[in-house]
Amino acid sequence: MLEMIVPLFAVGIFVFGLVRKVNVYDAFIEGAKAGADSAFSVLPYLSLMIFAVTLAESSGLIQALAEILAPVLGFLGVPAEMLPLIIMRPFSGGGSTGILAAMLERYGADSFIGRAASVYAGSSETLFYAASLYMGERKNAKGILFRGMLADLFSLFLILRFLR
Amino acid sequence: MSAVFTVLIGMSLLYGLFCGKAEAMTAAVFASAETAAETVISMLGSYAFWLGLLNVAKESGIVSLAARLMRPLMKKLFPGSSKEAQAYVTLNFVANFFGMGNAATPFGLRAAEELEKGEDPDALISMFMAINTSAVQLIPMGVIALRQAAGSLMPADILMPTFLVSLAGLVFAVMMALFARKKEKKDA
Repeated sequence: MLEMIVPLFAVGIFVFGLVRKVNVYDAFIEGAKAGADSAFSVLPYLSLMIFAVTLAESSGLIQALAEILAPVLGFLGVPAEMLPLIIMRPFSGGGSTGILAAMLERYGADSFIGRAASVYAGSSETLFYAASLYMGERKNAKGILFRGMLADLFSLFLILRFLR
Repeated sequence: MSAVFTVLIGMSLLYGLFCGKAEAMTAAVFASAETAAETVISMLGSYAFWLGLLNVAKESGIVSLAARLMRPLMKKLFPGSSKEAQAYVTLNFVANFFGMGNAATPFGLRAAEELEKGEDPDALISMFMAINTSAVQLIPMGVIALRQAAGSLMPADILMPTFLVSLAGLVFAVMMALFARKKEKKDA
């Protein structure tokens, strides 16, 4: 049943569109064109972030940082390989996409690290970017950001606990 | 962003040279440029497909249908705000839910504007931020496309866990916002 979700969903949308008398062919083509554009629009972010992450990785910097932070991360049960993504995620969608791409390439998309990183990237948001858009200057800004980061940690905890 | 980036590559460069990793780094730079291009090319197909599908959904009026279903809940979460504000919050959430980030942002900006006019804007914006940053999404297309590009055998394997984790995160964030609102009222 679970493996049927994607095809069912795809066909369901077409059927729903037909029922609602939408020109599904034109609507699909129009959306797909926009999709192709947005795939190309991530190239600049990808080339920059993959460059930065690969450099940090090949210079041994990430391994060195991971060694320093190992006691803390180990205590929390967080694999050191996840660190760059966790740090980048709240700041930049393009940046974390680049990091995720580099991680999937490096550790394998179906490894535990690859799957945990995928779920984390998909279930968290660019907190600071959203804050800059919507929050403005206010007295409870710190509380809002703190709760946002706590919610991300909560997600991370769930992923590490249940995805193994 | 610029500062983060500068620190990252600056430290990498210094550390790498110090440890004599120049050769490995040179190879990595060339490989990374290639990886970026390859990733985009292999993402193209799934991006086009999913956004095409979502456009069909949008044209079918799914967004306004979902917005209507969520009205009672919004009343509870955003007391003392206008109907208009609640509608924009819903539209922002629903657009994000269907992966239409570009459509979600203008709704979000309008929602924030309207919430500022409410009775207790601090609590209202706090709740809006909790919902907006929960990332509940029907199909995380970007992640699936990246996984496919990286040669995953089960690119959609993360669908259910991602949905459940983001949903749990949403409930957790909303509860924290409610709790903070209560506490502030008590202190005032």
